[in-house]
Amino acid sequence: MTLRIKFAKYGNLKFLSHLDVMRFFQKAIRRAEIDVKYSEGYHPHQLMSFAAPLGVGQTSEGEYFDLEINSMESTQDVLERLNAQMPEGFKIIHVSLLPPTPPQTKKESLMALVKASDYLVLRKGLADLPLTNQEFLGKFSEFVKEPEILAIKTTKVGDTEINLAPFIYDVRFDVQPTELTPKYENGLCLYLKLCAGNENHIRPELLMKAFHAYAGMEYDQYEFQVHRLEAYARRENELVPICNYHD
Amino acid sequence: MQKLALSDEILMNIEKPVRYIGGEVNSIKKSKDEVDVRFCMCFPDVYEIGMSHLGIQILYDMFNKFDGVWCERVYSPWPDLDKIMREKHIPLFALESQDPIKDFDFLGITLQYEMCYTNILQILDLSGIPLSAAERTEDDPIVIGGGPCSYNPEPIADFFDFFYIGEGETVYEDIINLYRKNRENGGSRRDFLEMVADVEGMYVPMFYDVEYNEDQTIKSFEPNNPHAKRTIRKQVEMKLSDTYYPDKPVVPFLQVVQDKVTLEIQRGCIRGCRFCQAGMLYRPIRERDVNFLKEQAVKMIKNTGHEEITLSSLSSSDYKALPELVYFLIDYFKKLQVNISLPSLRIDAFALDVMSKVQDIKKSSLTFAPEAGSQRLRNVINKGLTEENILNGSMDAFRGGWNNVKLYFMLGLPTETEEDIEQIAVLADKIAREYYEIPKDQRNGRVQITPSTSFFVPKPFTPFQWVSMNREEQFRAKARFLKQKVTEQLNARSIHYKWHDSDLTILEGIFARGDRRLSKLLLNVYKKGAIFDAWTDQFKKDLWDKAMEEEKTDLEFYVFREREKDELFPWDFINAGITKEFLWREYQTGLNEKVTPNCRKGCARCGAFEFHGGICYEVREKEEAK
Repeated sequence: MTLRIKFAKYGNLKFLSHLDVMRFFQKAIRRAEIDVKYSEGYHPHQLMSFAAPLGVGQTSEGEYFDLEINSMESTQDVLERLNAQMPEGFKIIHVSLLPPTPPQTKKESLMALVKASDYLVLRKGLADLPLTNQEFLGKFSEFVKEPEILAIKTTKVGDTEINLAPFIYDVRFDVQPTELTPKYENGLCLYLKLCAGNENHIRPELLMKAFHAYAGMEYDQYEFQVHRLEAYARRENELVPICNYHD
Repeated sequence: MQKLALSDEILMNIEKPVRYIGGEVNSIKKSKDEVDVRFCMCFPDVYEIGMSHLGIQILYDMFNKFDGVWCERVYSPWPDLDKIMREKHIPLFALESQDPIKDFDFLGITLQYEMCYTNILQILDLSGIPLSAAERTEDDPIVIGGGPCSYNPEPIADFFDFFYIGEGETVYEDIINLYRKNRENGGSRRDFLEMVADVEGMYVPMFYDVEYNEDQTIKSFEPNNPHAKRTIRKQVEMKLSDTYYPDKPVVPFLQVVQDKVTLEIQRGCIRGCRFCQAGMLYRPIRERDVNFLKEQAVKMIKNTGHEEITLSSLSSSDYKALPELVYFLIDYFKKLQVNISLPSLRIDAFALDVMSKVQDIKKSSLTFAPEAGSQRLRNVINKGLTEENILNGSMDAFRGGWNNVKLYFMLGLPTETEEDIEQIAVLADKIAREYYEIPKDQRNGRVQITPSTSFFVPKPFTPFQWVSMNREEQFRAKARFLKQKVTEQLNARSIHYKWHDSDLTILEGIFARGDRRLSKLLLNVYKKGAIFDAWTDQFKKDLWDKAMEEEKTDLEFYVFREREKDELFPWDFINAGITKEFLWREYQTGLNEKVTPNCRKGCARCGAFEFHGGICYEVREKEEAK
């Protein structure tokens, strides 16, 4: 049986690395006494796989991992048991049982499913701000209308210039921060739906950096907090939240 | 959500910010309004080292069980954050509340090794607490030292208000209550320290004066305060199955050095190896009840989710109910996929059976710690292990499928000759020869023998507390000599000799047996920028050389001379249970290459009998019945 688990990583635990998060869940799953499946061999490990890792410093309520188990009472029971083991900074949002993989077919990896993500970008207002929130949003809406938004993407093989415009799926200014979103006095909250996943993973910082270059402002990466809201898979021509993909 | 002491910008610009944010599973948060005493427990090294230490976990759990006390933790900020905190004047803070250390009532610092001494100054300095205890005011926390190095606290005496000598489980609650009483009475810091000095095991350095002879040795060590005792008797917890032990150890988010549950099965050691300070200090051996340990193991695994449990003691094989405990753990934890690790196990049939059940034979190795290459020198150091034990144990293991043997030795032991050193290479070769006795078709590939050496540092409260230490050139020459001898062996290609360098060894030697005057050296080198000396990539030898030159630190006096039988040592005011007469007797017996039987075989009259319990009673009762 495979469970798909949606969780939030918020508050001070945004400083945990992806590796720390995996280690944390291995221990939490043991504490919760979930009947988890282990690999064979002398160093058995829990069979779990994560979706797109979150950058250190970012918060999220749209994180996912798949977990192989032998048995359970109900998905609700798993959710409750896990939540009883979560310290402040982690929260289990949803647990679903995946339909069994048909014989002779390869299991679809969670990582490969991810095609887009929603983010909130919050302005902290710590530094002297060159633009008021109003001016900032005005400039930003002009910016995202540009047919070509060039940015330098640093990859393992080197720097490449890419056009971000086709990968910006949605931009909104009227989305309210959620309960788990970090709170800042400044109040500016930008909603972005960006292409994500193995092929073209567009990090919100890349867009923010390009915007600052466009507006002729210096980019201070610590001025913005990125909060991931959701990760999407593609079903035909529609983007659906990962947790609803099999519904 | 706890507000952090460091900004996002700082945390994003340092290595492993998780070291500084607290909030770990099982860490303890209390409301400030509900507590009247705040204690901060410090391990003066980086988080990953400090969080691996069992003693802190025990004391953290204990203090937090006391009514009205909130105990938090702090570790040394790594040099990257250290630099930022100094530049931006950010005071050092505790992990749980993120409050400045300076606001606490107590700062307790554990002293596990000498090379963390500059880190103590870093902690005090970043906290804004005056380094010297004499300069502290009513606004500063009371700074306490404890742990193995407090058995010679003199080199760091100036920096501490008092030292707790011995095991922490016994009188901390009394001390906290004295603190409250003194506060209610409107008493001063000095009044409190006088109350502390009345408690057995507590040493308040400022209440003593030291005078020196012309040859630099100590002439007198006298109390200057009516509350200060002439000798300080160590604290010992005699009821180890009925005392504090954490059910819910703190589970770090970061991968730490000991990322597992640690089960301390006993305290003390019966063996009496003459170089080993721990084996002398923690007498008498006291076992924890096997049922207590079983219950504790189950609870701790359940509450932490760790995937490994390790048994901790100085010599696990001497724990009487070891088979019962180990087979229980194997059975119980098998279905839960919890690994069991057993360090300090003597290789015998039981050990091999257990190892074959808990490890992958192909990947694991056998470990022997003969400490010296020849039987003669092993007799000098009272290491009971014989060549026959090693060869038979190895052969049994080889037949069981192992082909990897690790051997631990020391260079620079008293009376050591080239012949003794050569025997290290010869012994390694003999083990390899044993392996090749097995018919080729039954062998599991090539054998690998890895002897490694460290350099011997004489420690207080050991029979070798009188001996001179080797010089750096001698250490290096010995390591080179051994390397050469290894290459001359028949099976040289199967032997991989490793040695640790001697940079820190001499410094460790200075502080291990040093006196109060060394605090100037520490201050000097700290002001030059030395911290994290135990880390080879951080250790700055040039700073130490310069500081020693400026302070005219006399290495001949501190490390290279043989001491007189009746010399007054800086640590002689401590009664650790073992008498100086016993230690001298053991030293002489060692020089005569004679072995002293272990505590279980017979009482060597070390002095620990005065604690009225543990092995001493079992053995003496039997002896007296005869």
